[in-house]
Amino acid sequence: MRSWLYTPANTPSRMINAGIYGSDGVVFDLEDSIAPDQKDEARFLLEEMLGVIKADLQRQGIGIHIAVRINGLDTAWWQADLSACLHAGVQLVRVPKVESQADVHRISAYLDQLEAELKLPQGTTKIQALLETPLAVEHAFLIAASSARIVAFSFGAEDYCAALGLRRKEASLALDYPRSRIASAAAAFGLEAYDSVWGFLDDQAGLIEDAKRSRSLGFCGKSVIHPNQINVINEVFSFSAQEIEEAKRIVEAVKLTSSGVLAEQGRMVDKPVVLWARRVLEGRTQ
Amino acid sequence: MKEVLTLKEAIARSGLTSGMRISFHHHLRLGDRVVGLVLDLLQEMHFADLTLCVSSIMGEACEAVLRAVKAGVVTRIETTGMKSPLSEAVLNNEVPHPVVFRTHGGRARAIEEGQTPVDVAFIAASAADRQGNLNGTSGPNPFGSMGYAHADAEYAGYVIAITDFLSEEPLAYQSIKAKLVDVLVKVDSIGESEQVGGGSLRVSQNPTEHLIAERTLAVMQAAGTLKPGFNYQAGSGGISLLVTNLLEQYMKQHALQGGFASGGITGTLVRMAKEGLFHTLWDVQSFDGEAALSVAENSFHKEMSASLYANPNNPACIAHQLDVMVLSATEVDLDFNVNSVSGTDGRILGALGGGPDTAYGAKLTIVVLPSFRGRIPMINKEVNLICTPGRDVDVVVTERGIAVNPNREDLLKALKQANLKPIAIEELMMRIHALTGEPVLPGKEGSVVAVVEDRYGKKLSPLYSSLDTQD
Repeated sequence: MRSWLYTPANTPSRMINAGIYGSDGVVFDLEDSIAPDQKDEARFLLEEMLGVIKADLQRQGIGIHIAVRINGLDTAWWQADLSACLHAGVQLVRVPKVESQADVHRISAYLDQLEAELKLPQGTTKIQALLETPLAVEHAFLIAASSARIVAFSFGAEDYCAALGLRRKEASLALDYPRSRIASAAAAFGLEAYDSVWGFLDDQAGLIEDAKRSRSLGFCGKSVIHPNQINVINEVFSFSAQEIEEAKRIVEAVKLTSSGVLAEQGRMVDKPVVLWARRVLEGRTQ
Repeated sequence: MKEVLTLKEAIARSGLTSGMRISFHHHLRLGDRVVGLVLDLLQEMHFADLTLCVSSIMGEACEAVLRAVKAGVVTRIETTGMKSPLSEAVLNNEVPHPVVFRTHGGRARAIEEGQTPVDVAFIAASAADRQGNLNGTSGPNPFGSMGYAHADAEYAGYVIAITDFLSEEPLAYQSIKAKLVDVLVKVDSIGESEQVGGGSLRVSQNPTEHLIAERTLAVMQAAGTLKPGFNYQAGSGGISLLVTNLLEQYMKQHALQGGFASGGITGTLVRMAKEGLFHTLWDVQSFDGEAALSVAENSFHKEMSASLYANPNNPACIAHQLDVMVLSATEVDLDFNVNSVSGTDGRILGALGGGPDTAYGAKLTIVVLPSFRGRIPMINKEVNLICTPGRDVDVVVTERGIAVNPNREDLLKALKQANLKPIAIEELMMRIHALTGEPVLPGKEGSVVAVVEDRYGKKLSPLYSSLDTQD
């Protein structure tokens, strides 16, 4: 998935249209964009609207992934959030500030309980773990290994920068390390990795630069906070026509040879290159 | 030398009597103060039962006209559009006779043909010279083209020019010639030119409107419209303005040079012409300060009269030479009829403008609108008011789907080939109503408070009083 659009779960007019702008996924947010005194209202609204939203998308022939960002484990709301999600048929939750295996086990245990209550197959609900702190980054490999429910990592650069006392726009170098570590840990377990949002809505050039950097470090997509960022992100995280053409040539050339290694347009093509070509043709950037 | 009188002297000199028809133009848009100045004085001078023939009514002018209606000074209104609070008064049956909504082209035709003989025209000018030549581009409050006032100046029995800038030198740029002007009136201020860009001219940040604009550009591409020399116009709504912005990028990327752009001219279009993206701008109304100044400064930027713009009887009519028109709407029905004046709930929200004129003339007419506003659906079985007949509309673009008029099989095929996935308008309505529910349409049993005329002056559609239909 290349793009995930965050949408506050307390604004019906934005929720109903969130899926139509071309992102690969929508994250309805119960966390940061919802004031503490509106958490109950947003949860209720989410439960009420999700069926309507899915039906509307289906009528339009739009296939899109839906996730919900719940509140963190350090709050009083995360269990109610998870309960609302499962009652609304949500199968993918984005969990903020995951820092350890223990955090994942705690969420998984509660999900086990909810799934049993609702007579859902165990493990139905998947988790995108949002890694936002230096500790989370250091634990990325262990977190990835902690549960089969984990299907993706998402990076939270704003909190990470804050922990290091850095401002986001001045931290491009400092962000290379956590990004690499997260992308690598995700790849080790076949998970997807999505980069942090770019919060500067008027800086489209910065968005492109930031997205290109994260793709070069191994991310397959990025979260966005405004629909006007989606097209750019989808483009950056898609293979170019040139790459697709090259991949086709490689896969075709491999079919015609019995040897494991061949030359294609002056370049040695061995197993890793073939793997890359197959991924390109499958549309996987990570 | 033209005589310079006070407004009161000029009115007295004009021969105006109660029961006559007076006219105004609305190029100052939200910044207009002339309508109020004149109507308040007419009330003081005890005029009554006047017919107001105006190109549109916006901003403070709406309040001024309402005051005049309540005082009995104005009893009939002919316009292309109006806003609150006048619009509510119309629906509440406070105007003694039904309002006549005319298109810009229809208004010019009606004045020229004598269907609407104007007795006294009050023409605001941002500058006048001592000989009586007028323009809208000089002085402290420039508003640009005076396109809608040309017919008034030419055909009215008496022409009173009102300005706040009297030039001792002959005006280098002259929109209306001295021979058409009877007297000059110098006032402290004709209004505020900073508010010319008000009204329906906001540049939208709304992502849904961006999506509709992107799809509209894609429709133009798929239809094969975007060829060298193509002639273009977009209306004044937020989506239309976004389409022009996207078109600018597209034309640059593809090194495409169009023919003319017409209608309301914006700074964006001026920039595009400067960059060679359009050869000519035909300006009936300047939509912002940049365009207002450009019309006198740039040879590619031509002021045009409403008659040249859209009069159906004018053989040179620019609207009939359009390749594509992007049109805003408040409502569309299953026959592709467009309502651009009232909402689904019957409230008066917009204006006819030149929409029906350009829709008739353009080879491709694209209506752009969101599926719903608030919870009110914009595509329904029937529109409350027919402003542009469905036969003149080729395609409707919303964020929830694109519907092609069945009489354009060629276009349907082209959009399918371009993978734009056009759907039947019934399917589009169903998608929308599944979210909003079916609207309760205003009743049609009450008294008629307004009538939409077609371009030729034939009654097209009535609007009914809200008082008679509300519980």
